[in-house]
Amino acid sequence: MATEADSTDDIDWRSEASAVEMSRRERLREFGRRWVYEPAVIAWADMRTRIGLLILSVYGLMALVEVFGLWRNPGTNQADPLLKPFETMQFPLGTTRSGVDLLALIIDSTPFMLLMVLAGGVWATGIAVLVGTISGYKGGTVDNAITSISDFFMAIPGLPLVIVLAVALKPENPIFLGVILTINYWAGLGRSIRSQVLSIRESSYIEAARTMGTSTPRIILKDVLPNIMPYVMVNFVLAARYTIFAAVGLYFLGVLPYTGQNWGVTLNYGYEKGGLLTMEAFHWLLVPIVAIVGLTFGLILVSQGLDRVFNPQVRTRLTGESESIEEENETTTTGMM
Amino acid sequence: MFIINHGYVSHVMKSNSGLSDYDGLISRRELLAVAGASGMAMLSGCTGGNQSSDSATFRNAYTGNPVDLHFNTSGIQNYAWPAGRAVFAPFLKYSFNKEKFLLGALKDLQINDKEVTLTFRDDLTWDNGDDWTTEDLDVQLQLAKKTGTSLWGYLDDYKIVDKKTARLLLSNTTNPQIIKFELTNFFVDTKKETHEKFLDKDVSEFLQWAWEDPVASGMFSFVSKDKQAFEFEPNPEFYNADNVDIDTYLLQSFGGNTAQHQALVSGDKIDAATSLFVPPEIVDQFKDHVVEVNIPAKWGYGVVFNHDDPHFGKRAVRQAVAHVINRQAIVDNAGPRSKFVSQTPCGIAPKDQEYWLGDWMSDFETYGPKSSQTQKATKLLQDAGYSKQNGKWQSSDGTIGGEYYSPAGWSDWTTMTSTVVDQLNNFGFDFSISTLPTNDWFSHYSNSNFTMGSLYWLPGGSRSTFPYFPLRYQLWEEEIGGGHNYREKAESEQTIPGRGGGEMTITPLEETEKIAQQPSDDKSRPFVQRAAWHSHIELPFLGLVSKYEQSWMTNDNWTIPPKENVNRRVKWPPYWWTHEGELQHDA
Repeated sequence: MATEADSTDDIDWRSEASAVEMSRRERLREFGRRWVYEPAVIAWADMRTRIGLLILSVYGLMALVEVFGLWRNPGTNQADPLLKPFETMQFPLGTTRSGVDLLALIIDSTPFMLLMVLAGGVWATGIAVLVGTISGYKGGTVDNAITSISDFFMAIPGLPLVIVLAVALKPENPIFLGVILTINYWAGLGRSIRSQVLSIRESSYIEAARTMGTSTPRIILKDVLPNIMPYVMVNFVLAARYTIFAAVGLYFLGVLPYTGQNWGVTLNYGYEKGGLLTMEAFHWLLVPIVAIVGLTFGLILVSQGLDRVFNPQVRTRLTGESESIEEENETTTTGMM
Repeated sequence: MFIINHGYVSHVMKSNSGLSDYDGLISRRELLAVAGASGMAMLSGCTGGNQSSDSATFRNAYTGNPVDLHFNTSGIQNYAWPAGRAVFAPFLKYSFNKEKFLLGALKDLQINDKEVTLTFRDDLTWDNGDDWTTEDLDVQLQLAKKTGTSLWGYLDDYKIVDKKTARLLLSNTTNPQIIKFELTNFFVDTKKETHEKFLDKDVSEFLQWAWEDPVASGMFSFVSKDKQAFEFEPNPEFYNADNVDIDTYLLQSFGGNTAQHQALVSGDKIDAATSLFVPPEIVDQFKDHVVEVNIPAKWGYGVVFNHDDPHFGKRAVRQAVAHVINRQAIVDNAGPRSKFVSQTPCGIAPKDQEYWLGDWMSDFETYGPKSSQTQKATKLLQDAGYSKQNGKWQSSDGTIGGEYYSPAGWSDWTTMTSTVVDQLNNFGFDFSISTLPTNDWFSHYSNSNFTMGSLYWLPGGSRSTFPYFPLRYQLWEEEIGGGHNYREKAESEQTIPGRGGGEMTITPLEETEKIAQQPSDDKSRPFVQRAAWHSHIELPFLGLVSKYEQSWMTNDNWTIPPKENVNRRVKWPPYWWTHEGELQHDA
């Protein structure tokens, strides 16, 4: 009994016990500190995140401008044809051959593009994380079944499949379109995540958690996912980027139906009307390219910055807790041993 | 562009430049022995000696992979029409600038009442040395009947008179122009020995047949094809062989319009682009030796109405649409260089209206070709029971509008669609643009699943010069299976406002059919005037814009005919000019 009492005094691994003692306000504060403040501080400490967020906020702003109707809608003969950027501040990005304000064209389709990109990224990475973690952690029959399904989807060539689906389903809703464009993107990513989970599941702390009888979902959520989150975030961005490029490419080719001129369509018209061959129309090609590249660049910078958020070493060092936690961990480990 | 025999020369030059690498293997003396005297003559040419050669390669641009293309002119898919024009002689052609027909393989063409006598050239021969005879024509006409070629809509039968003469027996008196225009679609492309086997087979088998090794009757013989190009050589058996001053005719494959634009901007990559839309800004980049030849396309952007729609089934609404649209703005936005407005939307190609309408023309409503006549449109809609609420025109049937369909990938059409829809929405209609892949765009019309949308208002080609074709097209519209729901009205007697007041009673299809049944233009004209009058009042379609085909030639190394020459504006210059000897090597 004395041994038990001593041991309890030294190591308190029953987190529930301490949580019960915390008030609701303290819990909220703790949650905010752990999940909002600390990640924000860490992320903001990175220059890439700051620039990335700045770029993305510009797109967010453009989306709000469109939603609240703060800029004119694109329309033919709004201005003289082929005005150059900054030739007049009334049409800062210039106009097309038919006198359409290019800034209005970009703003008009920003909410659509953001929704589509978000849908594509969430769908691709969400499914990949789900199948990758379950398959990697559970192993056995579950792993075999999921792997076989993934193999099937990986064997289907991506672009032709997307083109066939686009022609057959004629997706016009941005969320649906995002899902269609990344319809089999998850398979390869899921396989990579599975490989990572296979190595993580052999870690001593996972084994310890299993030994203590922690449930599988909890282990995956608390112990496995944080370890693969940097990888997932980077791939979320890659999936988002793939969605943008696939959409622009298919709009460019005229495979997808559309109701307004989005970035891909504008790019196509700029290209066909001589954007590559004459300086008069060059800005018509350049403006949608900048919009596409800018969004992709912003996403990549943010993903690189977020890598630090999910990296425990960086995180603890930046929040000034590394030493104490390391000491505590050492003590705990030793004690347990 | 003139090219000397680069193949062998460059090969020898390459060998020469790399000679030091092989010093240990082959001496210069041995090289001489291997290459021979002629090889060394070329070698001296590329090392500074004077070189003269008569070899000339003509490079014509085309978008399409030759490997997938063939020479069966009736083939449903993948018939390479520019390649076909190189190897098959035309029966006759139409000169758009002189408005006359020019004979090709035909020596004579006589059209009398119900008989058409075709007399072919005595020297018409296949490139394998076989004589062309009416036995070949016999097979060609039987296959044409089998495939439902439109010429057979006027024929009862035909008779073979002799080896070079045949007689077509018309079912009714038919305007000679119609037969001539129909015959401009015919080429000497059917040889008894190769085509006869399809007479007893299912038509689909013939339509799907890919003819890969054609026997030529035209200027060139087929040599080979690969991913890059079709290659042709002069056909010594061709009746105008002396006119052909080209040693190698290449039909080069390009990835698309922009690639052809780039080639023309460079000025030395290609010698011609048969048919290529080029925006004005890019034309400005072309070198001076790139020559534009404009040929009326008799085709263009228009609006098709669903005549079963509660709004667009009403004549007043269709007329209001016509008043609101500023047609010149469409042209200015989409291509002022190659497009032009229709003076009055009456179902006749713009450049032919004056000739056919005569003194009626000044009485036609123009609907404001260069302005948006919103006041007239407002009055029409108010009289029809519409009112404007929240900025939109409405009636008990709802708001006027719907989805306005446009084909994806046709960039100038999208620009025109945006212009039209912006104008209509600014006036108070409620349209949203739906840009669809071409098949889907077309199927909406075939299935009558639309209210109003974009569709070409002229059937195209030289035959659209003759009003019967476009007027009938607008009433019947076979390509969408009558999906605009006007056929029933076209066959019914209608009362419309007459010329100079009063009323006019007309059965539009019947009136239009009579145009074709007259023996001359003068006899056809009264029917054309009445049918066109009906068309511009009733507006089965709304014709907005027509255009020129842009064909591009170069004159730095090739001769071209002057602007007033009868051969200048014949489809298509890279072929017909060669046929007539107008395109000569001039380096």
